[in-house]
Amino acid sequence: MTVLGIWIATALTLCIYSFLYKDNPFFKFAEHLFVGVSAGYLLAITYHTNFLPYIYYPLRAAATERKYSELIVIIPSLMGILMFSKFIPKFGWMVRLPFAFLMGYSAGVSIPVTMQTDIFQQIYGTAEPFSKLDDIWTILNSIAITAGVICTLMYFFFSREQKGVVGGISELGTFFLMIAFGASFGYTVMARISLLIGRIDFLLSLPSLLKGM
Amino acid sequence: MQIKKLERLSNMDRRIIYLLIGVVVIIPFFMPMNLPIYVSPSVQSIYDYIESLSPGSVVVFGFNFGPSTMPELYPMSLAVLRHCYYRNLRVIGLTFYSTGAVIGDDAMQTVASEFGYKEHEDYTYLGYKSSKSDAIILGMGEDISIPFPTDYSNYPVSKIPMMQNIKNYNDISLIVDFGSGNSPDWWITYAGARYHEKIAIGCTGVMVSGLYPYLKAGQLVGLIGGLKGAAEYEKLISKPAKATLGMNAQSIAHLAIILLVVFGNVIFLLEKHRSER
Repeated sequence: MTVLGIWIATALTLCIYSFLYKDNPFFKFAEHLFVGVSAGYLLAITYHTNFLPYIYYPLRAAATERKYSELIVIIPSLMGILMFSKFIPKFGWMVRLPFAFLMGYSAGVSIPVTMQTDIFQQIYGTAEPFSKLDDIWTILNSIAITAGVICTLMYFFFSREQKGVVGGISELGTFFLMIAFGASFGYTVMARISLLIGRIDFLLSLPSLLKGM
Repeated sequence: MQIKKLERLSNMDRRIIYLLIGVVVIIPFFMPMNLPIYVSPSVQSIYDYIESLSPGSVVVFGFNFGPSTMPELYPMSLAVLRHCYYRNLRVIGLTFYSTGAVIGDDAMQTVASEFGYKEHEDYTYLGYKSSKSDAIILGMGEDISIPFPTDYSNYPVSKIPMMQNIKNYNDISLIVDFGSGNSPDWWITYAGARYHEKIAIGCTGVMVSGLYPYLKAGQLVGLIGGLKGAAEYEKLISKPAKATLGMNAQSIAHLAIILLVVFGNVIFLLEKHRSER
């Protein structure tokens, strides 16, 4: 990182943190700069790492090295261009073609594996601990997991009024949910503090960074 | 008089709390406390799995995070990279995040220079590929050079010496994804379920509780969560770095937050008690 880069990073960090006091023009400047730089960066990197290797180089190979099989990239390229037909009212309907392809592809690809990952494997994960009940803690852990799953599922079971036994189980489900939310919140606090530590570490190491230039 | 004091405390300016947290985070940087770090089983299992790999095995690194989560994920990616290089493993890096492209390149070059690793012989950085990550992950199951015809520097993958014997997941022993978004789910769903590939995840603290079910169900080799996980891994490879340094500040900040929560609840209960009287 150059000296100028370090100073810019430092100034922008302070601009962003100034929001903690109150909203101000320095924060707004840093925020808008971030959005602009991100958009420009995304465009540039997408051009170099996607457009060139996926479209330009194959077409160039087809033209100069007579690798005609590479011309296949014209089809997805045309599909991509059709995405922009939405901007021309007369040809707006053509956007349905790439969208239909995308939706069909996504559904076909993701449904079977998502079922496998998020349903079958999770059922296995819930039941599997009962196959190796070695000690009292494993037994208690297995019971807690199974009870948690059943009670939480019952909380989201809306086909029957939540009264009596069903109501009691679903109320127990809310306790499991609260524990999960608490754990999630605790981890979120940890994550946010880590980000603050990262920035403070950067600011405190500023002299040594500049010395090493 | 006391009621007024309680009201004032319960309406405390939030900026005082920001200042307090800022101070408790800064102090440990000047007064290191060397608080103990205990290694959790989910981190240990990744270490053990990498230890079990034979030299020359291939590990894929996904640098799927940006500068906003670098303090958490960058230290752990360096720690796992160092472990892989200690073990003489070959590494392929890639990212689905545009902002991760430069970070991944920097991480791989930094650690490679420490070990004298050579690009295209010991490691390869494929760089960034956008949007349809599911298609890229599935494509890698057939032939890596289909989704990645060139590497980060636009050098043809087919001409990279290291990649000559690496075609698809059959030649890859482990995928380690450092993700701050959906990338862990993509790897688990497409590389894990479809190709039965071994997957380890390093994630931000926010994501840990959402990924534990996958760990419990045996869909992950292990899970490194947040800065704490990174510090645990640094301890395992006996190379304390940024994460270990940050853990002191983290612990003190957590203590301060716990005290603030208790303090807030005590004030709330006292106020409630007085209003009922």
